[in-house]
Amino acid sequence: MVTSTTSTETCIQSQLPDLSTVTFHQLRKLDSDALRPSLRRVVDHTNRLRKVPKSTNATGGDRID
Amino acid sequence: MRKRPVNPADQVGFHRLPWDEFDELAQGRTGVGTVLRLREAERSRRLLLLWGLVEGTSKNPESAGPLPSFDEAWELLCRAEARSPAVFNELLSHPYTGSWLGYTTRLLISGTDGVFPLWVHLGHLHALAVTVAIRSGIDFQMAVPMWSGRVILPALGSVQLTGSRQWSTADVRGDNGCVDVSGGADRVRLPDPPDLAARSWWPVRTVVAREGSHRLVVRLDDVDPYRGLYEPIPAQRLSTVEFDAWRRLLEDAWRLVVDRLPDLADALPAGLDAIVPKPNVPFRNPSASTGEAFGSAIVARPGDAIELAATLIHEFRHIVLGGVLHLIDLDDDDPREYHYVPWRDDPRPLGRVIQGLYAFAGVTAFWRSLTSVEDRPLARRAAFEFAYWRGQTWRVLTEIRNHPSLTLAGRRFLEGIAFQLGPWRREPVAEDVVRLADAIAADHYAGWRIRHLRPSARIVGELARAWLAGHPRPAGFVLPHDPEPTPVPDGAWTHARTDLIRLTVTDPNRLKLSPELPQASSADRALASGRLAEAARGYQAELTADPDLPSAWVGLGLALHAQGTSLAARALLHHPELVRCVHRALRAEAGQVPSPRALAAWIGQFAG
Repeated sequence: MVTSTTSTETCIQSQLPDLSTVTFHQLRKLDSDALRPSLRRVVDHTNRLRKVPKSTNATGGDRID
Repeated sequence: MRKRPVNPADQVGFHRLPWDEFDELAQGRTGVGTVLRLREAERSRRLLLLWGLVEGTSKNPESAGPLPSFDEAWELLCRAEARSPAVFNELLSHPYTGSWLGYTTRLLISGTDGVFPLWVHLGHLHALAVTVAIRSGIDFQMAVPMWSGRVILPALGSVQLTGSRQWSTADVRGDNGCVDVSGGADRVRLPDPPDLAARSWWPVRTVVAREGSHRLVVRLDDVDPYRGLYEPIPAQRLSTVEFDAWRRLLEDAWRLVVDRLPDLADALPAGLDAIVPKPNVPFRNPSASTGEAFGSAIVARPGDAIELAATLIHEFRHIVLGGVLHLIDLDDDDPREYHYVPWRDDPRPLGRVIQGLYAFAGVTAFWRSLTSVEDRPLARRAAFEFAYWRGQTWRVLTEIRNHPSLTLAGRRFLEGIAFQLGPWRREPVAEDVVRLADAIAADHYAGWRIRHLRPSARIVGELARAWLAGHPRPAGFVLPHDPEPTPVPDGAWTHARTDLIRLTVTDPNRLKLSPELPQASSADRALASGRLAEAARGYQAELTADPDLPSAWVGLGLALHAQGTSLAARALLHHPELVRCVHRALRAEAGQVPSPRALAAWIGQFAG
């Protein structure tokens, strides 16, 4: 999900497009071809994070740690 | 109209996280600004998934099933957003909008049905559109999915209609501020405001906890189908009595957090919107969260507000780290399950170890903050938990700190955790409390080893032959490195002994009444009460009855260790898997049943 992780830079730059100024109404007007790879990355990354084997923890519950 | 060619890489840009905020977060000093930054990123992520969902369905309009087209739902959302962008953003930020998007995107990609037919899951978009429309006060009419007669309006509530099939549709109409939900012959009008309870209407209830200028506002969501970890789940309504109990617990827990960790109290409300309440599990505080439902935690009702405060802090850290992990990787996704962690019984992959370490570092900070309270029993309880968790988190940190699968950011993150935890290791804690904390740590570690490590047949055979030959030790024997752990335990887990020992510190009066721990053996009770010789005899008797019983092997080690350092205790607490396997081999191959203690003492000469 990350493109840049060198400690000398001031910011971590992710590969998640910043849509904070985009309204829902504007969303369909965005360039689909440009959004599609980002969507694929998000889906892949989310799937990876969700690979959680379900089992009980030392204190008895299901949790992600 | 021609599409505006927006390339996210060139014109929209990417989300960023300043390294200094990343470091503060790792050190447990997360600011509210960082949480809001992560929320912004989460909004973009969800918007992208929403776009993907609608793009995917537009190629396949029949996937809407009996519902109106996705374009109609989209148009309603656009209309409602135009009236009230804040309401739209609130619904987009609703934790279970995130889990719905993740779940349904996976269904759409795989082309399969989920718990319900695909159109029901996709149609949650219609329910979202209707909810935004209701809250923004526009007139509308839209059909939405109905699950076993229940209509879900996310973050708002749930309507129950009668005489409905397992899945069907209901019609929702908003007209001049009045909202009617109808299906079949049934019709329900929502109360105004909709947070009031009414016939056939379960509003999502909110708790507002105030302490000074700090305010925690959380929904206790017992109706949203996407509030679980894995699959959609049915509503499980809390009774009014249960809700009131939760409200009191949350108010008291919030008071504690504000009082003991005021800096955290600034940031936590920005990251926690909703709690999924679950029933109490005696002696346990199970809780969970998922990176897809930013802002939510699933929490079993704890025994007291102190436990709840610890759980809120724990889950807040998971939520925040979940947000970070959408921006940056901390490890190279090595899925092998091979690490010991004291907070779970199963071997864990590196990424999950980091998650737990970070969450329990927060728990350590919480208990530390309580060690100085005037309430002496509480201070002693806090000292015990602090001693336990600082030791356990440091143990894990030490094991993974230089792991080759860590990314640069991962290493930096762990150094941040070490920065917070390191100085606490030198803080004084009463010796008897440390001894008990060490005992339950040793119990779990040895319990994990005996269940999840399988010594090689060669080593076991070599030792068995040397024992049978009466050798003082096998010639030239060198203990090899630990084998890879196996996820399937060799013997069932029980935590009754740990619970008993914990009670000696946290609630000694309850210890006397501990028939509520039916799994505890008489040897466990003797150990917890300090009758060590009796405990050792009891565990040996248990092994005579069942020589494979893992809790008895480890219990014997604990009892012997508490009586003073011995070779047998060393072997049983550091290599119990080896002792048990050699014992098994001698029983199976030589028909000999050696004394567990004698065999452990012999192995303890060279393994421990």
